[in-house]
Amino acid sequence: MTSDFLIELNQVTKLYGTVIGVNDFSMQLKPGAYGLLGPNGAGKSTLLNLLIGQLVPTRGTVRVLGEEPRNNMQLLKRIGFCPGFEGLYSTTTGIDWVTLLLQLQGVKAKPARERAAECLKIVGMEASMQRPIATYSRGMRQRTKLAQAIAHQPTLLILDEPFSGLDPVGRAEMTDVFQGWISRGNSLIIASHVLHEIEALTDSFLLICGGRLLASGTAAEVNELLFDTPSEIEIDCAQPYQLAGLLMRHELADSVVVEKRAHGNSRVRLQTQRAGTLCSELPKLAFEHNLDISRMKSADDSLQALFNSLLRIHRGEL
Amino acid sequence: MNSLLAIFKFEFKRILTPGRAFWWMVVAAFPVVITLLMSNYLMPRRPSIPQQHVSAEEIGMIFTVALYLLGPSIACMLGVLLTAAPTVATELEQHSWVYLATRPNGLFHLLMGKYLVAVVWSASATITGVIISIPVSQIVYKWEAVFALSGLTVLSAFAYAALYMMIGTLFHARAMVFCVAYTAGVELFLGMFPAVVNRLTVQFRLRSLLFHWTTHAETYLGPEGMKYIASNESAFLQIVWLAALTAVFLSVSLVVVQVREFTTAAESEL
Repeated sequence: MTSDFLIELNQVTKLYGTVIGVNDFSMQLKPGAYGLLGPNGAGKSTLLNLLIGQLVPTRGTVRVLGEEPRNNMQLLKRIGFCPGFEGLYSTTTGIDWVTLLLQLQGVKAKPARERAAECLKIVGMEASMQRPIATYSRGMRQRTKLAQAIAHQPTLLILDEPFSGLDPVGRAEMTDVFQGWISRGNSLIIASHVLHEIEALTDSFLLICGGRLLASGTAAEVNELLFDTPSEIEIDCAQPYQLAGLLMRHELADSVVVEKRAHGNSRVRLQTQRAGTLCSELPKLAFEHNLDISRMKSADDSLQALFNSLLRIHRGEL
Repeated sequence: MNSLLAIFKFEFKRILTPGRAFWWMVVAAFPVVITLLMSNYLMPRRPSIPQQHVSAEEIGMIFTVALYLLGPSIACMLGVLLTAAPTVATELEQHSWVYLATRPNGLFHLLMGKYLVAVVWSASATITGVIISIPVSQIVYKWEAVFALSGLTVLSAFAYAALYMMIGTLFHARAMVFCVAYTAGVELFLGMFPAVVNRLTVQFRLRSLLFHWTTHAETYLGPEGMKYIASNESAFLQIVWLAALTAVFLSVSLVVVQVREFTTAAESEL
């Protein structure tokens, strides 16, 4: 069965007894690279296990590359999975382990070993692949896990916290590997709770918490959701007190702080519940009162801030 | 077949450790030590001990039965218990399950590969022990005993490995406990229980084959009371029974791993 979608989840709920792992989760993703973001316990691993067919949804349907993943042999040849935990055999060498997993994909022994060596070289394990895994550092184990995930050249790579345990150099190298993977037209789903790791690879992400999808899309699209939610904004202005007064008078800010700076204009840091209105009104105010505004920026425009805001909305705090 | 062979080779390489080698030798040495003790202390060949009421053939049969109990029955059972029962549990505990489960037919190959390794490990240890024991025993028809006990060991390894793999799959969290309880309750107690229910045990079928494959089968299988100890139906039928039981045990294991959700997500997520 063919489908235009990489992943389709239709009202998927997964219960562990009476505890909800994933709650009424619906989404459709086209082929591409996606970041799956959420705090620990958000349901990321449950979702990934549903995608690889290790879990069966209590309710709803899951389709990956147009097919149901559970016990689907053909689909498993097209998916590469790198779990969040280690699970490597300590007495085995890296190359033996990757070779075995390739052979389980139906590759003959000799080509499997050659391909395993090639993949271990890609992830920077060439020098250590003949050593027992017990002697590997955490980062080396992580690289070995990645090697087994890409070895059979899957269409879709699913990675759960792939940068865990890697040093900065290792992270940069892995990021290059994944960027190369994406540039070749392959799809990638990467789960993490460290946002900048994902930002380096894709700007399409899914935010989940409590087993629910909080938001999806690019950072800009999700920012639009927060257009009129409370936010902190910084404005650098030559007339900071005049600007502060105007903002308060026009009820565009809930609180204002003026920060004197050694160089450049003073900074007005404000809290507002009407960021959208502020953005549309500010040019008019600046023009009418001849304000010299050199810079305007959301003080919390990182993905982390976005994520925090969505979580607060989800919890009913905003 | 390539995948199954790959798992078999991989798992076999993994069990070639000093610790496992030690246990292999313990399993192999077990029947040898007991046979030596029996031969030297319980039934010495010294003429000072009056043995006129017991013929050499009867003593030989006692040794044959004893070696059956020590080898195919206990040593082999213990061997597969150590190797086959924790198949699912160890993979889940060390989180290696998912790598195999996300391969086409990965779990089938995992179970069958480990099953064959368990059979080879246990059968080789037990046969070695039995073959070393026979010359030091007082068995009269030694070659007959070698073939009979080796054959029984192979059948025992296949059947018990399948049984313990099934129990280990159904109750992976307490695999060993359930395996020991089942062995004690069903195979040892019910297997010796003089009722028709014992025909459903592996022990009954192996015991029946022992009497078929060793001398004077008609002497032991003839009496009415013996029908609860061993079957007088043909040896071929006993093998068919063992093959059927093995197939059922393996099928249950394979179905369970396909149907049940084995994942560590529940622990890591919640």
